[in-house]
Amino acid sequence: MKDAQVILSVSQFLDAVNLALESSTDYEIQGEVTDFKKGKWISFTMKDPEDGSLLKCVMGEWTWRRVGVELEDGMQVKVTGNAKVNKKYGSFGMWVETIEPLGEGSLKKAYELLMKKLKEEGLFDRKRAIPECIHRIGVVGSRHGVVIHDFTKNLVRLGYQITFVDTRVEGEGAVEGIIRGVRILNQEEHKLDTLVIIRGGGSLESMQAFNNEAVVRAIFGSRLPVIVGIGHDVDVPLACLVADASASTPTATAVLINESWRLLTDTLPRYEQHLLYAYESALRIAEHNLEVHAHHVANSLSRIFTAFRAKETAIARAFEKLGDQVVIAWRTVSESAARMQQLFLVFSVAKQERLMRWEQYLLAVSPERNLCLGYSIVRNTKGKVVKSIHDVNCGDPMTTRVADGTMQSTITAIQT
Amino acid sequence: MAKKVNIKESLGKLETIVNWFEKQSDVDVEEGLEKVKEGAVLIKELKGRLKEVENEFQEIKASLDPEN
Repeated sequence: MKDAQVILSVSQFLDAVNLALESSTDYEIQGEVTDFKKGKWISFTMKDPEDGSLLKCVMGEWTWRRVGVELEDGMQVKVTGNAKVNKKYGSFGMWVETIEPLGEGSLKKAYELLMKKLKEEGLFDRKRAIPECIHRIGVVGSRHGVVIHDFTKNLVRLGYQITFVDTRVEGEGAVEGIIRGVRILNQEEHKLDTLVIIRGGGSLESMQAFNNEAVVRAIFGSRLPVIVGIGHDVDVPLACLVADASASTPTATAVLINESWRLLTDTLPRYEQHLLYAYESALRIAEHNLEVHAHHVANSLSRIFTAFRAKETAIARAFEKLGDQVVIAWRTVSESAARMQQLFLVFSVAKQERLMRWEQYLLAVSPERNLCLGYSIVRNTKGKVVKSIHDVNCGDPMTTRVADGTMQSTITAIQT
Repeated sequence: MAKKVNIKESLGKLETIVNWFEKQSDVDVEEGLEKVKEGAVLIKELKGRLKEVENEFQEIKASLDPEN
């Protein structure tokens, strides 16, 4: 029996008790959720299924959000926290820090509850387009294991710039690490095109960080479009559902990013082929047109030459005809001339004969002949042949012509 | 990002050229040649972007996060 009892106030005693209870943070306690309530505080009672022992659990709104697990009565959970006596009410309870559903059933239940809640909020409906020709990629994942290696190995060598943040992807610190990675890579300074979150396959239990509400909301809140690549079986992790795009393995994620270049890898050869084909056919058409035109010109020329030859022949024929006519005309002229000459000769002979006759006649009747025979011609002063005595007066001079000349005389007498 | 704009711009220009050929019922050979030359430059440029270039990998330490 101790002599000197230390007397403490209630408050002091409870402080001492709570100090002694600090080691409670070292324990993980498992049990069944009962009497789950959401109000200003979130509270539930953990029940030992074997003997029905009860542990009051409580947490604030902020912790509840960070915990990121939906609860329902009957779920098996594992909690950590700080057990203490509430000095105000004198009640004993656990201030919960973390909650993990235990066993397939509880995990599945938590998963379904959260999925339903987030779906109703519309978190899975917003899908942003994955940028085309991705160049700078932010990656959140674990540096350990083959996952990051599989991812980078399957990216084609297009000069990608990968900015990587290492984090645990399972167990303690995974949720915080993933959220931190998303926040860091969303900083403007990294100038990223897209964000990638990857991890390898695993059970629903190992996938808890990716079914965590806080992680899902961090992905939803990302400024950059997010591609989540997680290996999974039946239940698609909620992180995949909220992502703008998701793939079932890290390799598939790399392929998805490579495909962002499809615009270029597919379109470019097509355009190239198109362009060459279009120009080739344009050249072929031009060549064809040229041939057609050349043919046309040749045809036209040939027509002109044919027409020319026809005209030439026609002219030649015309000349030939003209020549014939000239010959005929010439012949006609010649014949006419000959005939005229003949006629002329005939006429000449006849005329000569007639002239000779006339000459003989004229010779016969010529005054010259009578003069020679002794006749003479007397003219008065006026030159008039004197045929009567009345043509002259006595004393008039007169001219007498004989055969060989003339003589002057004067009339001395007139007699009847 | 600037590079990406160029890729899209160049592809857009190339598309315009290809469409030009498709719209012409009778391609002017001289003008067509100019377009083909222009297109060839763009194709070369874009093919250059698809050339094999090593990827770069950089890890950021979480301690760089000011909030951590």
